[in-house]
Amino acid sequence: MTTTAHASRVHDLAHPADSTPTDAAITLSGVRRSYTTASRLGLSGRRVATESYEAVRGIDLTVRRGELFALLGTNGAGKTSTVELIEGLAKPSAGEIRVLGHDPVSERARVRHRTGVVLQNSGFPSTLTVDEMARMWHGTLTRPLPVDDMLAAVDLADRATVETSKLSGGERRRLDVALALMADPEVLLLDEPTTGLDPESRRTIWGLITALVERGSAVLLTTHYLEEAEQLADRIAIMHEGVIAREGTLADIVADAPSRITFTRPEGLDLGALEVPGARVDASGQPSTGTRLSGQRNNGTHAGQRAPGTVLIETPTLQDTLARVLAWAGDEPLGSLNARAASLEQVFLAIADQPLADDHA
Amino acid sequence: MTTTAPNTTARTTSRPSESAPRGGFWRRFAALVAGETRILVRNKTALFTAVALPLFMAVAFSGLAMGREQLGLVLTLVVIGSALMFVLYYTMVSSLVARREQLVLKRLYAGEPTPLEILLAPAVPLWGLFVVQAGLGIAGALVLGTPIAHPWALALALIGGAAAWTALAIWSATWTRTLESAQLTTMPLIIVSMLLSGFSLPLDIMPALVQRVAHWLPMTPVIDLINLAFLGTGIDGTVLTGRALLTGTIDMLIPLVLWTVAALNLGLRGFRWDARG
Repeated sequence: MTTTAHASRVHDLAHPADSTPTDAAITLSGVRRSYTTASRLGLSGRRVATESYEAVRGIDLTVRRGELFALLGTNGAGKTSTVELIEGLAKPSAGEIRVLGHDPVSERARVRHRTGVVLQNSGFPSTLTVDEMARMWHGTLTRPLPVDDMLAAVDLADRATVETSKLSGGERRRLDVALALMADPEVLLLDEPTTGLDPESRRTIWGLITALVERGSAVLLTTHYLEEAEQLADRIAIMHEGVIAREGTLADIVADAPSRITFTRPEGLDLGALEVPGARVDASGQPSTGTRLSGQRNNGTHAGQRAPGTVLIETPTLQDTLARVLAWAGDEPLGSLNARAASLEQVFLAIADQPLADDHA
Repeated sequence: MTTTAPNTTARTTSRPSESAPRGGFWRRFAALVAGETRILVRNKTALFTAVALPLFMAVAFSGLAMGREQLGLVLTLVVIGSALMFVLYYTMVSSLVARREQLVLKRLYAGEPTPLEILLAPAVPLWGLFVVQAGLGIAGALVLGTPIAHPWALALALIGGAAAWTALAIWSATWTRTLESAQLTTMPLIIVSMLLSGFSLPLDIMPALVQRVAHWLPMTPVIDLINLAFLGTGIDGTVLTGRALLTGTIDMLIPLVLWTVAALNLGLRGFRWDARG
């Protein structure tokens, strides 16, 4: 992929026209979804929307076979609303969706036996055991893999006789994934599949998903874990307020974002004498977007505030700028010196911190 | 825990990409029915209501002062009528709403089963229970020595009643949001049916207009068919023979067919699969 300045905004590169029809497993074009928040009974006996909220506001997306696509976004960005449309649980209010070439709602019979789905919430009847649930699900599938193999794959074989209501959150999630994979799907849709999992279980799930991708299936997953997207995804889209704010490979996405250098301002040095062409120097010490520590994903608050006296330099050319900073400092020690290339988290937080377009929050 | 992939890799090459599902209905439906039956058997409250209510009604009505033969007819009416309303209708609305609240319906809807398969599966074990109870009622009537003029009309009453009240349950579930509210949302239909079907009050004490409307309700034709089965009489109480028997029977079936088709249609069209929104 190119890393030249503007071409790396991969919106154009990933356009549906770009991929051949056989290559694309999932395509969305101009997809919107509105929820009715208030309605009245119409004359025809049908409810007529009087107030609605648009959660998905025009999305174009292509996921190819043999590709793992991660959909990121803050809570309420429209991830689940989008995935539900691809799952065929609802019709889009505008736009077109194709899964393996078919409409997932009107042609559900042609699509369902080739897709696997992990919903945000499991939906297990509480009084059925793990084994009974798995066998019931097995019975509904056209080309199911063996129940015992799937339970073993997610390490639930010894929990087979336990009621699903007595499973831990992580165990429920593993059963979810086992059932989705049981269909041996060509398209796998996962809505936060690893939420609540311990690191070991998460790695197990990653292994299973990766194996499916290697066999040529298309996988779309939403996640809150940025490192999950970094490690697994071939391509990533970041949703914000119902639209895709950024899309591309990890390299594409971080290419536009500046690298950062921070240090404590030394007493004896004149910041005015520092010449760093193309970089932005901020010595105000005020909190700034994207300086949060890794792992903190709270929305809207700034956890990693810079202490007063800290200098932040944002630059597209990290090595050159860093060399200039070091030359400028000379023998003077720079406290808490930190230099790092742009990260997915930085881009994500920058997008998430963008003001809302309207006041629905 | 290992990170190795399961035997899924074994099927790598053999995956047919565009093959249509082959004859999957019975397999899917059987799997769903087996699951639903297990769930019902383990739900003690629902099971108790389903088993006890028709029996309780039968006992309550058996104290009425009347001849043995007539008592047999009344018992059958009461058992079949209350089994339709409480065993089939109310329990099924509760089942569907509970499954929706647990997001089971959403999961199934996102999978391969068709909407009709998902919605009818909980009815099957209830149909079984209904047939057993109706059988007990009819057996009671036989023991009491009540003569049966047209046994086939009993079969029509059971099949037509089960179809209409199953469809009504699916429709009612579309506007029943929570399990608690199911007791309220099912009440109107149950009360109207009890009052205007000849189930608890003789229909002929009502004004003529009410009587005419009543025969279009979903319970009255079932009661009419049972009366026809035992007494051989039509809606107006006269004994039907020959051509009148045929048209009289069809008149009783038409409302049941209409209720079944209409309620199923409305139910399927308006069904909410998700607990939210």
